[in-house]
Amino acid sequence: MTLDDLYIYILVALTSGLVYYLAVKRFRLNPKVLRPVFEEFSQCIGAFILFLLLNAGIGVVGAFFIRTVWRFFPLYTVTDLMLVFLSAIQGFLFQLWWRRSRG
Amino acid sequence: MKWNRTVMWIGTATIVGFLVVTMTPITNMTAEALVIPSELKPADAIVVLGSGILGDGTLGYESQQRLLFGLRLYKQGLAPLLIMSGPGRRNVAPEATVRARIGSELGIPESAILEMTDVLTTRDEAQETAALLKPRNPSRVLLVTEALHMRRAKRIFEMAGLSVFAAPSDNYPAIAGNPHDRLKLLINILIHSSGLVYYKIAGYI
Repeated sequence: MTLDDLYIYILVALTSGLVYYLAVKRFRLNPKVLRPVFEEFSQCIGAFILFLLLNAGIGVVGAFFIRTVWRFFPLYTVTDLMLVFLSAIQGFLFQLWWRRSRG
Repeated sequence: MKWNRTVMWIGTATIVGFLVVTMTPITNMTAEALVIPSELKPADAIVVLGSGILGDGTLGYESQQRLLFGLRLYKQGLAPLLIMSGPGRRNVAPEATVRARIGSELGIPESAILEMTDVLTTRDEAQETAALLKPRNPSRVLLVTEALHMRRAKRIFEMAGLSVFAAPSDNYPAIAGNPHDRLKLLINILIHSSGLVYYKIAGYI
């Protein structure tokens, strides 16, 4: 990989390091809280994946249903990138709701 | 909580998986295992499969890529006939017609171009190609489509009774070298593998 390929990742690593330093030194954030934060983040990602699979599964079944009862409907519709973003919103909101309701 | 633990493991596996597929060549290796090697041999027709037309009537990137490769194969004298495929959208000329027009403008004789506009799936394209070529009695086609689509496309064209030489219009599995391209490649692997499984389950191939 060239520098062009890696540039944005280096950028994100640098800003992450910088913000971590400022957060701990200047704003006195507790670095020990980062571990449970990562765990919560992983839970949200997990919920997002489950919503993505649910949406894709129902989407495929729905596409076949439309083909059966109405007209041709392309399966490629389910591969729309927006479905990923919308599933992420669903997953994150659901997981945060779950945690607030059930701990 | 069982739910929290389950989604945490799924999430962790996803994050690790994401890093592996975008930062290592494993995605390229998987894609290359699915690709059929190019067989550029003289044939009776070159079939350029459809890929979609944009709302303003212009060809999308993938459609242009396939068209350009099909035109080059024709210019190299690999076949006397060029079959353009692709349906239209509302208020827009069919993809096949737009491609045929571009071909004519670039010097391909109109008599050497056939259009397939009423095709919605790869299976439709195979059956329509077989029907179009039946009166002419040729059996060998050079099939132009993207590399990851080729396995399913070649098989369904063979099922329609044609001898198929693969002419992949890209080498994306080999050249996707940065994380963004590898992610795109992974999505294409998932789409085309699902298509392959679907065609097998449906008994098409």
